[in-house]
Amino acid sequence: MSRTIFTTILEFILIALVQILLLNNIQLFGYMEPMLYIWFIILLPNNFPKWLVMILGFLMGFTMDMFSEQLGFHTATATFIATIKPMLLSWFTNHFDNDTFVPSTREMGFANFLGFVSTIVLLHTTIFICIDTFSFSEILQMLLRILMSSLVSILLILISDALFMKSKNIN
Amino acid sequence: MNNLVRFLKRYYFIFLFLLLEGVAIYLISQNSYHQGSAIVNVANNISGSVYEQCNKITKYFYLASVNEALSKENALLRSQIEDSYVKYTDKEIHIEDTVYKQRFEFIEAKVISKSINKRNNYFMLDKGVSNGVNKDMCVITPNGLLGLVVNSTSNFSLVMTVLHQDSKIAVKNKRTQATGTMKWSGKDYRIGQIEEMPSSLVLKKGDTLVTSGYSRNYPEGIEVGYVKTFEKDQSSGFYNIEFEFSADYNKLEYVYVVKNLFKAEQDLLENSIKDNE
Repeated sequence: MSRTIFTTILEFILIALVQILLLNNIQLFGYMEPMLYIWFIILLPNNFPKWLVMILGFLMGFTMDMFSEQLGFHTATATFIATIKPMLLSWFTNHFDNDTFVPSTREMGFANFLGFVSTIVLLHTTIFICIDTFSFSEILQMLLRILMSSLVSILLILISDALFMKSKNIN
Repeated sequence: MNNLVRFLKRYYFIFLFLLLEGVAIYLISQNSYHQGSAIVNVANNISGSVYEQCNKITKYFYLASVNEALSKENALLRSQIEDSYVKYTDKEIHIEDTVYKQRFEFIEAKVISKSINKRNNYFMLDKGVSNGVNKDMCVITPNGLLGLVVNSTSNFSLVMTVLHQDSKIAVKNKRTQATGTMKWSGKDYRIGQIEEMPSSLVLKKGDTLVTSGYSRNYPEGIEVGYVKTFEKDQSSGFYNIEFEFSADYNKLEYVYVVKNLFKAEQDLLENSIKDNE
């Protein structure tokens, strides 16, 4: 448990830094908003109590908000996503009650992991962009924005998973 | 009491969720750019100092283009100073110059964080109250208008760009003086829209749009963009215009904050109207 707490803190800091210093500066075509920090919520271990997962999601969202000039947007979304994550996970895998289980391609298989990540990212992006736009008069642009941002976020998470989750396995 | 504890134990999860979401919604309802919120100020200070550190490294990547822009601007300014004008008359008339009084002051600032890919975009500048940057000051770039300062802490300030839902600025066609309102649809950060420009005055592709000065916070005559496409709305008698922003908001390093030296006087006048009503 203490090791997972340490890993989680490390993941928190690293993912937050990458998001703030690198990804927040990437403004692709004016539509895409890469959100790697969802990966942090995905990676939270299953043996963490629900309240801790929720609070960690809240903290991650709040950290993102501090750097985005619009307080509350990421916080509301991330808290919600962290809350429903266990339920979403149960749709895609059976052995998630295992203590060491961490959602990744290796443990879930590519198809299941892709499904899980896509669902969670799409939901996250949709909520976030709906709060941000807060108007249904621009629904087409909103949909385009959701689609593009989700795609780039999903891609980023899959790449990160391929890069880091396998090496972790060897240790 | 026992029952209460059991009740709380059973449903703490929902309560915690509601509490956390409540905090988030409270933060949203503070409506981000609205000043006076201590949380926003603290957040801006922290993110400002982190971005400033990061910027010390990244600014080197843009040196070439920034230099180019600066030298262009230097050339423009040099062409405007007295020495570059030839006297066309022999008779010199000296007058005590009380005609001109400085109205606007410019404070140079560096962009330390920016976004263009959201529906509502903000820039953060490295100058704040201690440098004379205050709320409601207009911010311009060497090529055109950027937006309005909506919040400033002692060392940083937040600019609501023209790429924002709430940004509505009075503009006019430089050639025909026809006025309209500028908006941004959120579609493309290079393209803005003009509404309510009367179609009685002929419009041409490529016409320059400048601020009209009707919006008190924006000085008159600041370039905004060039007309790209337009069509006449037969029912309303107005043009629907799409225009290209003259400034490239994606490549912006240095901007100028415009300080209106007469603002106090104008505010006083405006408030007197409100008092009378």
